[in-house]
Amino acid sequence: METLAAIPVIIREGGDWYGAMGTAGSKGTKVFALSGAVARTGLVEVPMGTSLRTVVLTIGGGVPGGEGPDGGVKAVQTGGPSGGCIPAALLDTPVDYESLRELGSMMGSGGLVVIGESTAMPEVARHFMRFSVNESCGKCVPCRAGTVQLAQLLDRFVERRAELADLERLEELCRMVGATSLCGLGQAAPNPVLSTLRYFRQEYQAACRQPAQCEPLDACLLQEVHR
Amino acid sequence: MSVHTLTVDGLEVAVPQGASLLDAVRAAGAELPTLCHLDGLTPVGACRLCLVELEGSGKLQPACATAAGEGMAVLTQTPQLKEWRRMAVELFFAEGNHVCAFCVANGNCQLQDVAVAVGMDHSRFPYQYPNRKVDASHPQFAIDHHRCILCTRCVRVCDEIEGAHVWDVANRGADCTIIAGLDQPWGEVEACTSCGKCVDVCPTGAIFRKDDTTGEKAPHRELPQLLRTARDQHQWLNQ
Repeated sequence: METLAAIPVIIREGGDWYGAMGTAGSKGTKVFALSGAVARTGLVEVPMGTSLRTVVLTIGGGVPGGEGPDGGVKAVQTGGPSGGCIPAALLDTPVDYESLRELGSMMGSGGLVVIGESTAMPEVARHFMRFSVNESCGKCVPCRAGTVQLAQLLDRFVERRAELADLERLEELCRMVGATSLCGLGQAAPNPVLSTLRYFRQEYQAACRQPAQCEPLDACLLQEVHR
Repeated sequence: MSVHTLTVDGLEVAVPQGASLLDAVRAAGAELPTLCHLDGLTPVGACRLCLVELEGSGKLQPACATAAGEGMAVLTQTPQLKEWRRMAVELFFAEGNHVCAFCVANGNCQLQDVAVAVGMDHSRFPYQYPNRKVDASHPQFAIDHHRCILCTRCVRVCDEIEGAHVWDVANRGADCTIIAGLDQPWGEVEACTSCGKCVDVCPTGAIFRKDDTTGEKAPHRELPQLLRTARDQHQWLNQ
């Protein structure tokens, strides 16, 4: 659909005109379905390389009632359920294929869900994992049974009854499902968990029963970036 | 006949063109656990137990469903592969209701064998205790879905060898289930020839003869390969 919509204007204005937009590796424009905790939702078309900040804050208007330099935005989930989340501290990332992949996310379907500061990340991860549970075809065991187990493990973190061993198990099962699933759906299913773990590990740790035993918070990646 | 030369865990083997990586692994004298694969049936690569690593690319491929190629370097026993195999077996046990002690296939169950082979003595994942059905409507056989691991061997043997296509898979994800006919009681499916091949190929005690009780299932899992060889190459056992 997106490709078809781009064709008439490329024919009218020429390929060079279209190619002049965007970045060296990702040319042209990209359509995003902007949704979630944002004042103005809907489809937006921007040149490749536009920063996430422009899309979310300038075009989307930020989180309603949100304050601060990042407009109450906590993270942005790109690429749909198989993509990953990008923390607000990295909102200046240009949207192109390479930059998103470097951050552990992807362009994917062009979904862009804005997550406000009041939302817990394990809950976000569980929401997307439940999508994968429902969409699994059931042919191979890592995806059919693994996503079910992952969603249940995430339940423990959402309900704050997890243990430190669960965090290890969660990561190991994510790696296993990602590496051994038969098709792309199962291979990408752990992405929302892995990317929220990468940037918001302290939220998973805080959900453990023995927070005192958790790794010190300065081990968390998010601390390195000042907001 | 053209031959491919490749290495399995460093050992050089030669296999005929058209052979699978699983054939090559076996030619090298190595063992790989398999559940969905059965010689004589089309491979589906669904159980992920025979995943091997191709050196260089680091990519994992199901040995049963991948053609052996010239110069491939196959690794079958990396620590990571062993760990993931064990996890896959744990996932199988946790998603069904497998109670060996009173199972008809106890001692003759390939899920049990695979658990022993990968060193799985308990599941670290919580058991799901699914509420599944038992269909005993067929006069000679029964299917207990609690023991089904969805390997689809029954589906394939009935379609490819017997030609009756009684079995199929319905629903998706964790709700996947093997169905007879148009999701009818097995005994009411007129296409069923009561040949019993599905009983023979079932890796667990999911499909069994009503005559058999605990530990008495004695399946002939080599049957599809025998029939395939007999039909394709006109070679029979007594020749």
